[in-house]
Amino acid sequence: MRKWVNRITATFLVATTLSGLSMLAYAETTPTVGGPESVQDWWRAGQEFIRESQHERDVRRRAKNIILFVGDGMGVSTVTAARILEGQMKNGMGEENHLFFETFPNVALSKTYSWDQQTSDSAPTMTAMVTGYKGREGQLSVNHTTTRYECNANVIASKSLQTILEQAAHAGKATGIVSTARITHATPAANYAHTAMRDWESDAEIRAFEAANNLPANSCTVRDIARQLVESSPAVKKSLRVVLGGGRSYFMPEAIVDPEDGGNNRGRRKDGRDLTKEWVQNREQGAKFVFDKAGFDAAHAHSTPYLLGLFERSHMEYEADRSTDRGGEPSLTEMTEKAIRMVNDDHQGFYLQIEGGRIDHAHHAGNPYRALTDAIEFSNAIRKAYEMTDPDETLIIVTADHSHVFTIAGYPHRGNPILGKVREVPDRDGQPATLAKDLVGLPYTTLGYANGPGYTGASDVQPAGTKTFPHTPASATNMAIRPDLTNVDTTAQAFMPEATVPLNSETHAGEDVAIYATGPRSHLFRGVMEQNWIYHVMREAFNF
Amino acid sequence: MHKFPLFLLLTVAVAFPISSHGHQAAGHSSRGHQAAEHSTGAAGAYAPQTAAMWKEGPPVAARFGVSISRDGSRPVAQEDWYLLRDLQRIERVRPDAGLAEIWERDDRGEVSLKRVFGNDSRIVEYVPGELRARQMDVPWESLGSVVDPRFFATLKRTRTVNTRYGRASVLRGSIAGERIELWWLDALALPARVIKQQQNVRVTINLKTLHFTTPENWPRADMMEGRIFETIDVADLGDRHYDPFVHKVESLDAVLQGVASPRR
Repeated sequence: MRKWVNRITATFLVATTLSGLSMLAYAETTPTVGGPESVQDWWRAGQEFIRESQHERDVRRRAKNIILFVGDGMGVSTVTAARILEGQMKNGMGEENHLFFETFPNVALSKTYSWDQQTSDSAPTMTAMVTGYKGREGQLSVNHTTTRYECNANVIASKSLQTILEQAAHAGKATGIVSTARITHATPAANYAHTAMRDWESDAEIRAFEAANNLPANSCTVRDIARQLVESSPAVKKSLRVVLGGGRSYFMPEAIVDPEDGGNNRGRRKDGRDLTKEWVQNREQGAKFVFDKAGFDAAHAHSTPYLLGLFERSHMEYEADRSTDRGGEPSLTEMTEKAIRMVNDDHQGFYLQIEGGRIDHAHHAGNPYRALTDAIEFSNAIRKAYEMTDPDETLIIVTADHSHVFTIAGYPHRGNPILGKVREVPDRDGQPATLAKDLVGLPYTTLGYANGPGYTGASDVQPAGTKTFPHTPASATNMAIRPDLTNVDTTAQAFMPEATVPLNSETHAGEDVAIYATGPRSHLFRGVMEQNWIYHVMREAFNF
Repeated sequence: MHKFPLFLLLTVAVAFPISSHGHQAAGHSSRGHQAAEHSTGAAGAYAPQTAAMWKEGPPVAARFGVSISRDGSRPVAQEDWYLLRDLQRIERVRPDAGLAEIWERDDRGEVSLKRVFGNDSRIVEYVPGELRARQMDVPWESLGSVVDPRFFATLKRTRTVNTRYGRASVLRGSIAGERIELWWLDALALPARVIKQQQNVRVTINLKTLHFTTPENWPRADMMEGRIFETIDVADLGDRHYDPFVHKVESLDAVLQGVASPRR
């Protein structure tokens, strides 16, 4: 499928230099805006697509390997906007661009509701994808009969659902987890942890829960998520070769000063355990823990049987900020490459779960620039994974856990900066493209949010106008007019688009997300699917 | 209608932002600080001159008294809060409210923030990237001076006065409907006094005690040491919609806007 996309792109690039002539052949006035393509280019592209599609074949063999990519919060509008931004960063119009995974042959829609939520958080959605069952809000890989805040270890054990990672481990496959979020955060954690509360990432959160609820200290026997990673079953311990992400402080005791940030920055564990050390000690010789880019680069796959890399005390940097990190961080692409190198030589095959974890965080903050640049880096990581694996052996799935209330609005002309204000196709060819105006004569941006901190109405804290921070006043009123963005640089990295409903934090959205797949059994992704069916396709592909 | 207690809690927490619209009715101006006043001949000086006064000051430990009154009556709310300013670390502590902030600047100039919510047993962390993503990358100077830099860009210097902490420039003016008088200790880059008056509500901030090393018995941001606190990355607030505590944190974020935006 990628062939036709490449050919189309090549055709359009060639057409760029010819388009003026072809347009002039039938237009009295040259259009002010428009793509470089000629009418023949569009036709040829459609015909090429049909020819290529007729040669597409389903890979019906079983999968030796599976890589499950999850873009946290990467709804369809995010994919579209990221596609355009990536194209514009390459000096193209943008719309004709494809993120790498959009070239995959099989696409479906995923219904993301959970057992108890119309619009879900990341915990039950990832639980659905890796266990085959829809779950409850905030719970990881336990069944829906689990009580909220259940902290009895025996009860949790009885409610636990086996994950595809655990099954792969028992089948003798190598496994790995990669995320730009904390490795104990909901999406990566659902692979290996079982808990009624996604926030119990270290024992500090459990102890705080006990204190806040007047429970005796240490009465909660459930293990925190970081502990569950390190104290996994023998099969998982042997199988889980590579773990890369953020969240170092959840593994380190509060007595230890953070190795990267120093100063007063310490671990958060109350039990005094250094789980990074335990990880190394409890695995075979050569196992390594690394916390910065230098350590990451020095850990060679052929001489490192097990690798734990935790590159931040909490989440890793947004891709836009990565270059400013003190200790240096690998990109998601670099972590993906390392992870595949570490598991690719296993003759039994492997299961990897890789998350672009910060798309979601940037959206919550009402920051499309960072959400989209993280989505582009996510796409780069998928490209790397595809290039490093055999498409006849490796099922690659790309999806999101949920969407966000992020919209692409108005009628901007072709090539209009996706982060900019709407400029429409001029009424008459030859006229300049001017700012589109709302009913009161004010310009507006293409990107916006249905809710969140960008609400511009007057409040008890600020007057009406654009907000440049999470704005959560005690009261807010409807504004008489919208803010005037005429002289505002909406393409600035920290610009916060307007939001209709004032909320502390922009929210997830309940519409379906897409599934893109290639490789063995990827043809089973079709139509509109329940999110938990993703697990069932993986199980079928692995023949578990 | 403005919620008065909220105003006290939020707006004195960070850099005395100017956005306090919504107060009702008219009040009266302030007089009576014990200090000798001197005409500077600089009355009528405008923004470019006063803007240069805004700078980083030396390490200090300062205690401020904050009071709010209506209609010239006795204060309806009073509170002491503490500023502990070092070259790379600034603490703001409000013991009565159980709130504290720790701003730290590393050797590369990257600034991070921890907010301590003592009554909630929570700490919220903001790493530099998160501060940038939220446009909360407040200029270091404003954190340490506790005064919104827009004051200097707008107010006029009218005279100088001698205070027990040294000579202070008196700046006056009006911002967003608020009458403001600022007594500015140039050598220390600290206010000796701030009076903000809008309609009938008057906020007064007085420097009550000043040290160059922090007294041992002063409250510190880590005063809750030994208690069990839950530390939360601000990036996770969006996934904690169920938690009322999140609303409190993000309300405080709002106050930073007035301080962060002049840099752009």
